[in-house]
Amino acid sequence: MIRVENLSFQYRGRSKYAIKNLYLQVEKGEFITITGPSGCGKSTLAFCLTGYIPHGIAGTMQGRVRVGGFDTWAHPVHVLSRTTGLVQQDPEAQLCTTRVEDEVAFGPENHCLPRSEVAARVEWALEAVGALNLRNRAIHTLSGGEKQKVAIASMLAMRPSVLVLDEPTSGLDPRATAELLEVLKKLQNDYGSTVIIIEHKLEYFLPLSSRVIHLDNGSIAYDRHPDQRPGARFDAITNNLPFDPSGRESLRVDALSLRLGENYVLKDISLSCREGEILALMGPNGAGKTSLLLCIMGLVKPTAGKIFFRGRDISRVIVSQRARMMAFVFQNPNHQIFTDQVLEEIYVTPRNLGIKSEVYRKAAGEILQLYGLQLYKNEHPLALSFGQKRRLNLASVLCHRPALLLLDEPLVGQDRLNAGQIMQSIMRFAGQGGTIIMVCHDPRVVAKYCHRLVFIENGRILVDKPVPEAFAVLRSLGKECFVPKLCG
Amino acid sequence: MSGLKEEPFLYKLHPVAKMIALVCLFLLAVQLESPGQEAILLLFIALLSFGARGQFSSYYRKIRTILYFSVFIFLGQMFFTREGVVLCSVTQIHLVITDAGIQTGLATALRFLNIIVASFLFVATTDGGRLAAALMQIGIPYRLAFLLTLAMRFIPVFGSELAIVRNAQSARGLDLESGSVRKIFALAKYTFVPLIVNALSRADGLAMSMEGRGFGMYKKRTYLNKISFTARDMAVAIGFVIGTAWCLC
Repeated sequence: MIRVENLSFQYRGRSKYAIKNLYLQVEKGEFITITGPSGCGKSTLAFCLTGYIPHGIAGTMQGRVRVGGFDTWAHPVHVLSRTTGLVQQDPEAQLCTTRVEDEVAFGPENHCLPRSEVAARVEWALEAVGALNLRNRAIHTLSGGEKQKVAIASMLAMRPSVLVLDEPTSGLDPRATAELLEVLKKLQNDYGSTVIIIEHKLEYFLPLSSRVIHLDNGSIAYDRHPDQRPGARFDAITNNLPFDPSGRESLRVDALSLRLGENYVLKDISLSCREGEILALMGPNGAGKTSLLLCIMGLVKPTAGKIFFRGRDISRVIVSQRARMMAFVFQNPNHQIFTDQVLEEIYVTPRNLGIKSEVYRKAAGEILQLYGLQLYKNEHPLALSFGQKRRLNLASVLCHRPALLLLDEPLVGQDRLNAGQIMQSIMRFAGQGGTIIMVCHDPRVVAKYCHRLVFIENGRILVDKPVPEAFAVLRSLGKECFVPKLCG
Repeated sequence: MSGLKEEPFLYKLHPVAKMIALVCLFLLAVQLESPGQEAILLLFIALLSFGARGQFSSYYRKIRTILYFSVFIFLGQMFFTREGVVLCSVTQIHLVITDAGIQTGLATALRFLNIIVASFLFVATTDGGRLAAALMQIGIPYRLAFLLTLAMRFIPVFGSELAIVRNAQSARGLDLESGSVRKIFALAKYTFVPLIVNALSRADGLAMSMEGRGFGMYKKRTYLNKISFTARDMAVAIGFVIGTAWCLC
């Protein structure tokens, strides 16, 4: 189905090859998982398999790629799209119409297929991803998981023989990830599709995979059956994090509720955390996790309830005052980068808070060193890699030494190495007596790095316990997808 | 809107017919001179809004603001027009109210209301995607008309991203409510940089997604949902054109 021969690709203006001398052969109906650190060439390979390289992306390509008998050199993207489809990481960026049905019909309509054929394909594609119920919904009302299903359906409607998915689960909660897994299973079993998925969440996709390919520096480091890959079996995840449960209470939330219109987004939320504690907030998308963080920060006014910081009621304290005590890191790195220099970015918060320049300049130097950004202090923040940007987000809220850190999915789109580095930074902050409340969708990260797990569903706390006990309760409640799986 | 069991009349009307009607209403609002004529036009538009039923209700609150603004326009025109018969004057503060001032004030305020209410009515009863599809199907090049669909698709995304960016600014101690002109410029930069960066990063993905599904491959394309221009749509369009011509002659 796919034959890649001696493929090399160098992006225009870059000295390094993104892919170097790569050979790959994929048979019809195979399910292949591709993994590897950020920047190793995974997405570049996906672009080569779908024809965007050499036809859309500027650079120099050598070698040959044949997909379904079509040579990607000789056929433009729209011709190749009948054979191979690419589902990208961010579903928001690949949906271009306002209604689900229009979105799925978009490709067949562009190919000038007769109306009856377009209708049949829309029906089939939505059925294949289990999204027939979404048919008449407006795109902007869909959840992240639903958008990703529609994105896959819109590619399936082109009837490609090969479906390439580039980190499709990075913004999805474990339940939506499990649903996507079911969709891919069905595609493989019922329709014999060839699926190539680029992922970091191996524990989900390896059981389906006939091969796992690890890329490193643009080359294949190994290409094996999942059982034979190096380090295939993990030991049980252990959590030996030091934490003093008798430490001072830093934050207490008391009977907090938030109502929007008729619906409660949060209902009677009460929790407290101590200095040095890393608390994970888990739950399905839309459960109210981010809303809780926004209420604590004062960015959303709760309908009822109180918030105490170190014993003091801060319910009426405005955001710019709360910013002295606590810091918030949002999900998308680009939403919170405001300046054109790394160092200036660090200075934004202390300047706004009126801290003396000699104080924050000294602190900024130490933070840059600590977060591995010293070398880049004069660079434009947008020139940094994804992992570096995330570390900059963290560094840029710490200069004024807040006591509480609110993190909304800080590990989205990060590979294991970057995620590990970010979590080390978070643990260092906790080690110095800081408190962290972190929304996280990765049960393995929660198991490894967090002291306590609060699980929210439909705006209410379902579980609030130390991590191992919380996972046991979740398992007993049938919420297996939120419990870490052993990989391999 | 499309999920409703029974769509209101104005929603079912062909978007192009509604566009023709809107242009006619604009022409009338601009060309009519007396407050009485403008008031009749406003009454007519208000009657039309019954054809939108519930769809128009979300715009009532916005129209209330517009009403305040039109009162402001009326008062401004009334106090600054000196021509005509003086009806009242307060010499100490150089205030003169004339009959022409009241006439001009009323006509201008009603004209403003007519244009705004007619536009709201159009927006409230027209799905952007359906409008774009209708334009494509009557022969506007689809590559061009699709820009409207894209705009409709990304306006809500842009709105939610703006809210996130403003939250991120507040969380870093930026006071969004007050400040000097310099601070306002800094705030604008802090807002637009992240929004534009995100929009640009999305643009690549979007272009790839569209190209990968054959957008622009042929001069024409087919449509799953045909939006046909019925006899009723034709009657409405012709009715508005003839009515407007009759009023203005």
